[in-house]
Amino acid sequence: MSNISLKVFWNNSPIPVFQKVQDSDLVINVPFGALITHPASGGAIYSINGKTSSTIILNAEDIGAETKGAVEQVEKKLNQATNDLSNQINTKASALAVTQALSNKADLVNGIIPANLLPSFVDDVVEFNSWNEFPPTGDAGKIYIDITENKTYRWGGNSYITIGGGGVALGETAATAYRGDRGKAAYDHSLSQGNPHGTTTSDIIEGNRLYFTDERVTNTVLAGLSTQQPTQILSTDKLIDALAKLQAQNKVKADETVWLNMASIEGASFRLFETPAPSYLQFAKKDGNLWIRGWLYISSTIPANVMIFRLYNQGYAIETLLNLYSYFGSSFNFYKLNPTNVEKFTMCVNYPNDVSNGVKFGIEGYCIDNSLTTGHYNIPAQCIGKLI
Amino acid sequence: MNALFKIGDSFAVPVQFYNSETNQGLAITSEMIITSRIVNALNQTIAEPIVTVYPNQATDTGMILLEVPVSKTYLWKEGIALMDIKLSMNGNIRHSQNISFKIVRSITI
Repeated sequence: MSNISLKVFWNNSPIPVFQKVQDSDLVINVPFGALITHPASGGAIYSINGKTSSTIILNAEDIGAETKGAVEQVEKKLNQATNDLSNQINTKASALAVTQALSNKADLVNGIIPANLLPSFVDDVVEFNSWNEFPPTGDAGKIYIDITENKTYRWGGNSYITIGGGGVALGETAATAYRGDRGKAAYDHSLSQGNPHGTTTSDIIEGNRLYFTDERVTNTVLAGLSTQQPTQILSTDKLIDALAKLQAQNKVKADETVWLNMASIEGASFRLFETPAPSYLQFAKKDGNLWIRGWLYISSTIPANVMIFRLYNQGYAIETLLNLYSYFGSSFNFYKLNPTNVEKFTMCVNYPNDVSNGVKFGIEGYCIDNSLTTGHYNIPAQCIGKLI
Repeated sequence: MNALFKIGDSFAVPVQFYNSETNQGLAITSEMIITSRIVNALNQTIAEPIVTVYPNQATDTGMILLEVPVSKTYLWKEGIALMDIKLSMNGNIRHSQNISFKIVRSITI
């Protein structure tokens, strides 16, 4: 217990705090009372269970406890009893275990334990044709084999799970991998050039694009044929255009009439008046007919029915009624141009088919109505007969 | 000499707890809670001084400092005031004592 007082260091004027204790104007001493140090709940405890002292030593009886050593004795006895009981239980338990084990033992059949007596984990690999045939609920620890896909599964608690990711078995289904050797052969084949199968167009079913055949080419319709100029066919021309050009060229050829001088035709001659021979006769073949034109110069009088010209060339023979020797074939008119008039004459053309007498095929011309006097005679271009 | 205090001054008053028998300072422990309150003549609280225990109780044994900021003393009115100092330990008020002083008008106000 302490008697406490307060000292209040008062200054009526402001000075620094640290000076107020030393230079205070007024020190107010105020008694503050006694300070007793003890627990807040009350005063000091000096008496317990009838024992009164400043220092109190309590024994087991004072607090209702067992005497010293009593608990230790009880513990020893309890430990002994526990050990005895444990030994008895172990002995009985061992005998019971043997009895139970024997009662549940598996009897051998021909020295082999029947499969139905084996635990599930012994028969832990089961095969099915497909995973669809797996039991709805599998056994953990078992291996289920899908022998179709050659994949193994285990029961994962809720579903079957492929073991080791399942891998990919060989096969030819959507769930299998293909054989590598065959795959390589197919790949190598895909890289081969040419026609490894020896395929012909006959092996291919025709679509819209038809095969080339002689018959089809022969019967090809010239669709799109257009008129072409009769120009030269070029290597760059289409076949249909080339045909059109040929057609145009033929048309020009047909339109052209080629006149040949009689003197240039093999087998042709003027029989009686070759010298001088200013005559100018021309022949042309057109549309299967034989045409004639030109001039005759008669240097001296030629009687009627005397041959004026001959053309022993079978290519210039014309049809007659019987194709007999000297048989009348055709006739044409020709004219003498006088200073004051024009005289008309008729020339007959025969078919000199007298091979036996050395006469060659061809034509011969005779004036059949009058003798021809000296002078020039005009033969207008005219058809004299149909070529044989 | 009476204790005076001018309105608007800073209120800073050192106080020492000491053993009156030995005249030695009584160290302030953490169990000791010291509070203070100043009331006017109408018993109206005009301030609750801030109590600061001197940190080195070995050299400044029993010393505390009571402070009221100028912002509050500026509003004080003239008259008698009582400052109560209270000591509590373990939640129980042990002692309380009043010190009287007079609040006077400052000339500069």
